[in-house]
Amino acid sequence: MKEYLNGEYCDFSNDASASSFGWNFQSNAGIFLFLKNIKESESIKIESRLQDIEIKMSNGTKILAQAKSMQDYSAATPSSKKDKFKDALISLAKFSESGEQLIYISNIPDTFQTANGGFNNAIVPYSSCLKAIKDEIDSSFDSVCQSVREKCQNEHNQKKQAKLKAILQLIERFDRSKLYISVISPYWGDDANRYSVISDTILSFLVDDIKLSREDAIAIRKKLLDYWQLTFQHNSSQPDKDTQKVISKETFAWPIAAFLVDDMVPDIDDCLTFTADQSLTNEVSRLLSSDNLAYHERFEFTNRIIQDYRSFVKDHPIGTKEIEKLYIKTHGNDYCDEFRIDNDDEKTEYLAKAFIYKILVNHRNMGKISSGIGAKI
Amino acid sequence: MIIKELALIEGMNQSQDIFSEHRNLIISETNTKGKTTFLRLLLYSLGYPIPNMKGIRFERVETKIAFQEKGIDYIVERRDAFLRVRIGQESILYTLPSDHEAFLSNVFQYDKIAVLRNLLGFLYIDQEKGWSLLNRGTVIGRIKFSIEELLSGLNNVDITGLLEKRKRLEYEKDKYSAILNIQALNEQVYEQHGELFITDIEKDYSQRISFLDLKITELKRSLREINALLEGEKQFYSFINSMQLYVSTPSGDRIAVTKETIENAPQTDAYLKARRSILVTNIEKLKGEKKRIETQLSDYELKNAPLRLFQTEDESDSIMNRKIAAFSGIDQQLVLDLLEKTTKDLAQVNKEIRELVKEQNKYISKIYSYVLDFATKLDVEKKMVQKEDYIFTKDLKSLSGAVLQKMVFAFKLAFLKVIEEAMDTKLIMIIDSPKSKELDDANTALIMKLIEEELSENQVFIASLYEFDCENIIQVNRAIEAR
Repeated sequence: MKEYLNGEYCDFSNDASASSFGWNFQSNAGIFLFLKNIKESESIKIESRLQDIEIKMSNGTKILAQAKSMQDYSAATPSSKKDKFKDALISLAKFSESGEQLIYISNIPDTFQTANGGFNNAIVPYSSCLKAIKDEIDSSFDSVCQSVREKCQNEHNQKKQAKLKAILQLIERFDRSKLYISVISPYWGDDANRYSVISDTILSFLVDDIKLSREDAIAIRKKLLDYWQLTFQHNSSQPDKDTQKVISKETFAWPIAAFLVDDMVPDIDDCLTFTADQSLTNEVSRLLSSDNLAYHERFEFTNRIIQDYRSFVKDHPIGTKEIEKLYIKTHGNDYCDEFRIDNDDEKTEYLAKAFIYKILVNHRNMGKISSGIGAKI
Repeated sequence: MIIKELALIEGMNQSQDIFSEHRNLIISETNTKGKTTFLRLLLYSLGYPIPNMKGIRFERVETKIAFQEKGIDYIVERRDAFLRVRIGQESILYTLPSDHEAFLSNVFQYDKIAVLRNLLGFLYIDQEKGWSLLNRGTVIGRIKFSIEELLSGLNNVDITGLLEKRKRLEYEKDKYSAILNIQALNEQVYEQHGELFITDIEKDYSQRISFLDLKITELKRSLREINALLEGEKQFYSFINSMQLYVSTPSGDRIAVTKETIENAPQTDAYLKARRSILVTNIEKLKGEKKRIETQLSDYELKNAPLRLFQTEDESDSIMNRKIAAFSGIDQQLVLDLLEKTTKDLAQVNKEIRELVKEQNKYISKIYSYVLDFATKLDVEKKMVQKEDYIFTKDLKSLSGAVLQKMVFAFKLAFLKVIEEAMDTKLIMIIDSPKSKELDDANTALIMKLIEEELSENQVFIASLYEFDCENIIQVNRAIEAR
């Protein structure tokens, strides 16, 4: 709590712990909270002017979160864990009017002795807490108020005293119905353990919200986690004046589509007019996974395929995957000229059909992501 | 096309020049007086993306050019990225660079974009590179031209995909050659300095750094491709926006046609941007990893420095030699195989491009017969290989000095003639410094005679320090000044 009551912090600005563990936790907490709220949200900022994590909701309100972590909480005293919560309360109080939900998120499962593990991997409102837990939270509020009062009395500098008084008022007026508590646990040790909850949250999001198959979701979750962590770490270092700082949920989610088709080896043997041997399959897979075919992803070509496919679908009312393949089998050869390679008709046909399949799968996935996150496009 | 007048305004400076329908000489007594700038401003006023020159920023110059094409009078005003075209009472606004091809297409009433894209390479001879380019290369700034694209355009064949592929293979070939060069250097260092006692730890660090470098280069190349694609898409959408298109629905609503309202467009755009974002993130990640290993390597070298104190080479050379000696992580045979495969693929792509371009292409023999005719008039026909394929030649080494300059002129003129026939027009020709480098009076006279004979119905602009027989002479001390 000392952190937020020293002179430098009395100027109402927000800052986070400089330790890399803290930065790392902040980014992962951002991913966790954004995924839990993505349907109703619009965008996110990490290390914003207002809080460690700021999520803008579609209805115009904001979720503000304070992220606090301890590298080895097992060695920490109960009071130092509670101090983390009290520091967060002071910071949240300063901006309580700007947010609809004020979240304390940490990696410490036993901050509250009455709720050991009770907040794990959930976002629990104060109003839903059991009486004993509420009492423990309330006593933290009382303790913060008492400390600020004492500091105020001992402060001789009038300006600092005025600021402390203002903080005291904000804490006393803190609307506890806006307070939420969340714990990510376990979050310690090596990457596998530390990121297990975030990784599971990503998996649930991909399977339950985006409606991907479990295999597809497992195949891309590590890549997504790495990508989102780096994106959020970078975002936290950008000044909040920068419009680039805002990460919309669409920008956040579209890479899912890119990862899904990244290493895809389409099973389109039935669509070919010849029997492909393994070496040709390998060659086409290599070509598909390189970025050398980016040119064929231009709108003009992609749109031509999708519109042609749609007309085809109208006349063939069968299941999605079957019709995609039937379309490729029937019309794939129309697009061979776009992909002519090495004067090799078989390689050209295979590549053209595999790429068209990739476009169709991508289109299907974009649709799923769009409805999964409640996007505008 | 006949350019009648060009007005230029840059701050307080203004110029206004009226041109002859035939030959116009832009002359100055000494060099660096603005002749080249003037010619480039002429091209700038026609919407071309001309790079800035010393002392002048083109985007600050307002231009107004009046010209006639196919009997229609045009007045075109350019302000930075906007080109306003006035035809009588009518006015059209184009956004540059995305709409430039549309502008040219409307003016020339010609829709073969590949031809229009390559036009400048054949009607403008720049003083710097212009006199050394026969049939392909960089005209100026980012404007390129190629015989293959031109001929495929004239013949209505799309080879864009193949050209992209050729670019990629050329890059890969350069990369593999560079790796082999470093390996050769590695052997040279070994011969000169013997074994440099690179420890396994140093080798391991260096190999990991080299591997990361390769990965970073690879990703950066992919990033360039995605960026180029996104830039193309941006220009396309900007063109759509500038058209101000609306769709009327049966219920009476009007919907503007924009990137946001075109079906599938926002998704495609978002997907490509996500791909770019992943690449950028991965590059940053690899850079971070490389930095970490580099720090570990320099820490290691620092700790082990006393062991190498007795060496006599200077320090930077020593470090460089050790880095080269440590470069042994790549299997030479593998690189040789890759180089061989890429060279073969490249030859195949070139063959495919050439076959596609040549297939029933009546323009090739036309161009060849023109080149032969003009080369004969310029007395360089003996330097030509006497077959139609010669117009595709890349062999510039066998041509040098005045011969090359004359051959360049013969080529440009031949292409110009054929393009004019296809476009059913007479084009302008802009020649910067014909009498320079190694062209003596006799050879210059041959070129001027050819201009007189073959371009008698064309408007020609010549910039030179020397006087030529021209209908209109513009003496310049600065490109933009009251004259």
